[in-house]
Amino acid sequence: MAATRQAIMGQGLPPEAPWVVFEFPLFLVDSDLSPIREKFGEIVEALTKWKPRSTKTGVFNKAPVEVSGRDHEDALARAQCLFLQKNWGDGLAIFPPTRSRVDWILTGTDHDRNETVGGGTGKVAPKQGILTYEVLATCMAMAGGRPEYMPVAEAVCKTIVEKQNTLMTSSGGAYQGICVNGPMARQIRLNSRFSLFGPNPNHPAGGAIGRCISLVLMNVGGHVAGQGTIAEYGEMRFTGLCFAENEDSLPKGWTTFAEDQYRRGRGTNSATYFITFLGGLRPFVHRGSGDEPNFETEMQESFFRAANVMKSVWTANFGPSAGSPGILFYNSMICGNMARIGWTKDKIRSRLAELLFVTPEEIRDRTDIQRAAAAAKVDLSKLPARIPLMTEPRNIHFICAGGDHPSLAMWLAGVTLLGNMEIQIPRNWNDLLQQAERDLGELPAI
Amino acid sequence: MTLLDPTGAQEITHLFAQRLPDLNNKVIAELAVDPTKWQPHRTMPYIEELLKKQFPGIQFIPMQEFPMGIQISETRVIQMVANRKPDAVIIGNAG
Repeated sequence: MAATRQAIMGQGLPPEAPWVVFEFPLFLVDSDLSPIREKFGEIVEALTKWKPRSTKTGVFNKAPVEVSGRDHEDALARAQCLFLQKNWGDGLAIFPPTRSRVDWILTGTDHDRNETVGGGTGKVAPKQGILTYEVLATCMAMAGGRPEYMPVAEAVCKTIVEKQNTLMTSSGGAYQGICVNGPMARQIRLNSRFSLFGPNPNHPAGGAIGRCISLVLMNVGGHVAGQGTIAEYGEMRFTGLCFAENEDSLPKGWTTFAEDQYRRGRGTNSATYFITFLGGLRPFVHRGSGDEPNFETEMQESFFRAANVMKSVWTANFGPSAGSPGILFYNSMICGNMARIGWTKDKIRSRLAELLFVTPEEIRDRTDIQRAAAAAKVDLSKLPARIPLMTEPRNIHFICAGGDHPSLAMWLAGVTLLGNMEIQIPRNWNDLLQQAERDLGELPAI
Repeated sequence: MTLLDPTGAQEITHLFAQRLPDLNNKVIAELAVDPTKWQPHRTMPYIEELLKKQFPGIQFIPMQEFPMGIQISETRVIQMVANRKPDAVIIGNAG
C-alpha cells in the first residue's frame, strides 16, 4: 500500500487515496478470489462515495526541523533517532545536515541553492520529490561528504532526473552504480584500484558520493524499503557502487569506458550512472593453476571460467535478445597481460560472446521453456547444437579497474546504462582541493 | 540545532476526480501491468461479474484492448485510454 501511495504521489496526486487492501495470496497462481467478494461493498463505496482531503494544487515546501539535547552529544544522538523516525536515514549514523554544514557543501557548486538539479523540474521518480542543490547538499552532508564531491553527485543526479528510471522500485533488488572518467577522479580521491567497491579510507569519495545518491533516491525519489521499493534483498543500496576507471594504467592503444561507450574525449571528466537489476557482482578466477604450457594458454583458459560465471545469469531467461548487458572488470595488470599477447577489448568481447551458449541437452527438461516454445510454435527438436546467449558482443561493457593482482576479475550482470554526463567543475576548484589536502592529507600515491 | 529536510518539496499537479455516484450505464476501462503474473486475467473478470450484478448497465473495455507492462503509465497509453472515453479506469494488479 505504501509503495502504491508513492506511485500516486509520483503522478502529481495527493497522497491520500480510497484504499481497499487485499492480502498478498490473492495475487498468486490458483488463488482464492473470495476476498474480492467479501470486500466488494468497500470497493463500491470507494468508487462512488469517497471524498479526498486535499483541495489545492501547488508546490509544498518542507520546513527545517529543530533538535535539542542536554549537550552536543545528546543532540547528536537525538538527531540520529529523529532522522530514522522520519525515514530520512539509511540505518547508518548520519552527519547532521545543519545549515552551516550544508552551506559548506554548497561551496562545491556554482549553482544557487534553490535551483533544481538539471535545470528542469528536478523531480526524482517514483515519488517525484523536487531535487534542488540545497537538497542534494543536505543528502551529501548526511552522507559525510565534502564539497569537492558535489560535481560528481550533480552529474549523476542530472541523469537520474532526466531518465526517471524506476527499476529500483522493483522486487528485483536493483542497485545503482557510478563510474567516473577523467582526471578529477583522482583529485577527489575516488578509488580505481584495491578494494574498488570499498571500504577504503585512503579513497573515501566513493562511499560518501554513493551514499549521497542513495539518500537522494530514498528521500527525494521515495525508494524507502517497503514504501517506494519492494526490493526483497536490496543488495548494496547503502552506497551502491561508485568508483573511477584506472585509465592512467590502460595498455597503450586501449580506450577508456567513456571513450568507448559515449565517445568522450580522453581527459574529459564524466560520470556514468547505471543500474544493475537481477544481477550483481560475480567474481571469477582469472588466473590458471600455473601448470599451463604457456602464458597465452593460461590467459585463453580464463575465458572458460569467465563464461561459466557470466552464463549463469542468463539461464533463467531464454527470451530472444542480443544478450543481457553487463560490465566486465579487468584490473590494469590483467589488461596489460592480455594486451602483451595481442588481445584487444573487442577481441576479448568476441571470444566471450562465442563461449556464451547453451546446448539443447541443457534445456530439454525445462517445462517453462517447453511451454514458451509451444506458444511461439518453436520445434525444440530442431534447435541448433549451440544456442547463443550473446549475439551482440558490445553488450559486454569493459572497465579497467580493481586492485592490480592477477587472480580475480569481475562480472557485473544485468546492467542498464542510464547515461553519461560531463562533470562541471566549479570556479573555486583549486581552493576546494587545497582545503581537502589540509583536511585529509596529501593525495595517496595511487 | 536546525537541520534541513532532505526530502525536497512535493508538487501536487492534479486533484482526484469526483466519484461517480452511480456506475450504472458507465463505461469502465481496464489496464493491467502484466497479463497473468499478478492474476489480473482472473481478478478483472471476477470484479466485472460482481459489478454487473449490482449495476446491470455497466460496460467494460477489457485490459487486452490496451498495452500491458510498465509502459501503461506512458502518455501514449493514457491517450489510448482517453480516446475510448471511459467514465473510469481500473488499474491492476501490482506485486
